[in-house]
Amino acid sequence: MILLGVVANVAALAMLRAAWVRQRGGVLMLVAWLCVATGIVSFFLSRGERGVAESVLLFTSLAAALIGVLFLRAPCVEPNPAKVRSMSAPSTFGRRVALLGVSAFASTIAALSLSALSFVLGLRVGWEEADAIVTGVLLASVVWPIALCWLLMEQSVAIRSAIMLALLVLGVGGFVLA
Amino acid sequence: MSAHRSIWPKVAPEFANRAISAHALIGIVLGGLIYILALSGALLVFQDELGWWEAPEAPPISHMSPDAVEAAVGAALAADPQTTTDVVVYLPRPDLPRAIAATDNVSISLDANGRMAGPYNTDWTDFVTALHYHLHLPSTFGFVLVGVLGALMLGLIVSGLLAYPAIFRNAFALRRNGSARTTETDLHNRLAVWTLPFQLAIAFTGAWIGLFVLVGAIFAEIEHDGDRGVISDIVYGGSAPEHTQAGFPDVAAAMRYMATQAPGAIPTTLIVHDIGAAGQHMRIIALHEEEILLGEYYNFDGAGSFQGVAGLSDGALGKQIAIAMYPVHFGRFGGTWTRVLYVVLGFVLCIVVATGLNISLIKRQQKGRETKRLAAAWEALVWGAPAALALCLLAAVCGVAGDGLIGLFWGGLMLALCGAAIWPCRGAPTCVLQALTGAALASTLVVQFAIYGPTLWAAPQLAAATGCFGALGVVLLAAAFWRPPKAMIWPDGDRN
Repeated sequence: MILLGVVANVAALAMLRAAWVRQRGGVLMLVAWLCVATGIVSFFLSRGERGVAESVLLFTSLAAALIGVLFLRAPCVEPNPAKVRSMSAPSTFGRRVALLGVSAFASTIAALSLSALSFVLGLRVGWEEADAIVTGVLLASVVWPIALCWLLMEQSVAIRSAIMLALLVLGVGGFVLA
Repeated sequence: MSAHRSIWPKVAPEFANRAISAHALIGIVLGGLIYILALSGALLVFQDELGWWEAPEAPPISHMSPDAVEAAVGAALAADPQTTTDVVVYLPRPDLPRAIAATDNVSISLDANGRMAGPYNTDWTDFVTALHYHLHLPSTFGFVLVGVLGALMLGLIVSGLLAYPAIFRNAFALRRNGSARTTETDLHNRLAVWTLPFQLAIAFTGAWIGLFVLVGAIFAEIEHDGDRGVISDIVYGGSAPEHTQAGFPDVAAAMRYMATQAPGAIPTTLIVHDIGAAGQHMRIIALHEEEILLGEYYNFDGAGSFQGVAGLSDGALGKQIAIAMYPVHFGRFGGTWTRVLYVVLGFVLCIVVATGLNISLIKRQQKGRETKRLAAAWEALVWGAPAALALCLLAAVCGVAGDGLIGLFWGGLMLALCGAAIWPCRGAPTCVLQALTGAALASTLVVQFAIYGPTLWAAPQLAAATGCFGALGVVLLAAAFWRPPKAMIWPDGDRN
């Protein structure tokens, strides 16, 4: 399962890079969601194998981080930068969809990991498990749209980079702690 | 004299533009799916009544005795030639006076004595339910996807409020004679702001219900070695007693306990789990008269001995919050008129989604970009979805079921979309699809009447459904034929 996660995500990243060079924003979005799908499918396939599930989620988070880096830095390595505009000011529909895809991915990781973190912390401070579960789901339901809107609205590359990295660090950290 | 200070918040134009961009982006990409969910959700507010209308031979009954409920369980088992794990009896309620029993494989309607009155096939209602719950995708994945769409709908609402800081100040402004963009924008914003509490409630509870599956799976991995059933049991209760013997369960004893020991509870559903096997147990779902949002699960063993309640009405706060999500989402907390209001607001939500996409298309057209095919495809989706649902209803009453309905809906919708995009014709999709919807509804009424006759108005619920379908059919046919084709937003960017 770990191998599947690694291979799928590496392949996805390679496709992502190729797609980016060819300025195919829609493909970028599809690849980002491929990573999400891989993570989710791997997660459900590995039911009962806690270590494996966590590993796959971590790899998916890593993929998200790398996507974020590529997402922010790719125009700088484009062979003909004059023909490529930064993703931070998306103009074509494909690029805007790519922005949505990547932002949705980052907000997904952030919401789920914050939720897991709150669940574990809730149990450790002595909440009833039903309360911890419901709080976790409530948190995910609220954090998800807010994080998504925040990422979509932020146009500064530096700030968006900081938000995304913070969310991803929080995500990975949340799962590790959980 | 001091300058007049506005009470409305001020937002920098740049910030508002970014919010508009985010709002439009989510709406453009996901508008179609959210529209289908809104439409199917509006219909499902009266899910039980629609199911009864589909199978109206279920006789109206107001009460079932404990012995009749036990007989109903036996009747369901007798009607099912296959093996079954659970038997469910949907008891008559004041607002839904009919009784149904279902095994894993068949459903039957019941008379007041618990005897089988006939088969209870609700293929169309089941199809619409599956559409709304998981978009006909594999159930777990689809359920999570719908939850994510609920979360993204919340994102749409938040970004919409940020995008239009004047939306509350202009709550009474509705310009119907301006440009197409002004008209659509005003309609979108006014309907959105007036129905904001409903939209927030629907989106949030929908996101919560869907995400519970995904987040619960993660919590199960963390704490219970991946056993997702444990998470559900912790929140909703459901531990099975271990000492029950095999044999026919004493359903009547459980029902008598409810009548004597919990007189303020209105039993709505009886579930017998693992029927006939050692360890079989029962659960009675009951509404509490004094609480509008909360119900309770009463657990019994196979011998009908009370085992305790799940604690949904007075247990941990988390349990109370969890159980309250469902009536808020489905509108089942304030009687029939609340549900009527939910239906109306659900259709308003459809209009908000439709006009939102129209605004984007107008903007695109005003920028000189190709819009004709996109606009035609969107128009085909907006009117094609109800047309496909109506055709599926007609097919269901003619005997089509299951995958046939799913294929008809998605195939028909794709056909309408592709046809409109390939041969864009001003106003044609609206006209054709409205006529198709009206004709399908009228034909459904004719078929149902031919099969069931006056049974279709044997109860107020059935009569109301018959009247609504008939009126809707007539209105849509009239709209299609007695009015010139609706002016489209292309090619000149304005209405005629």
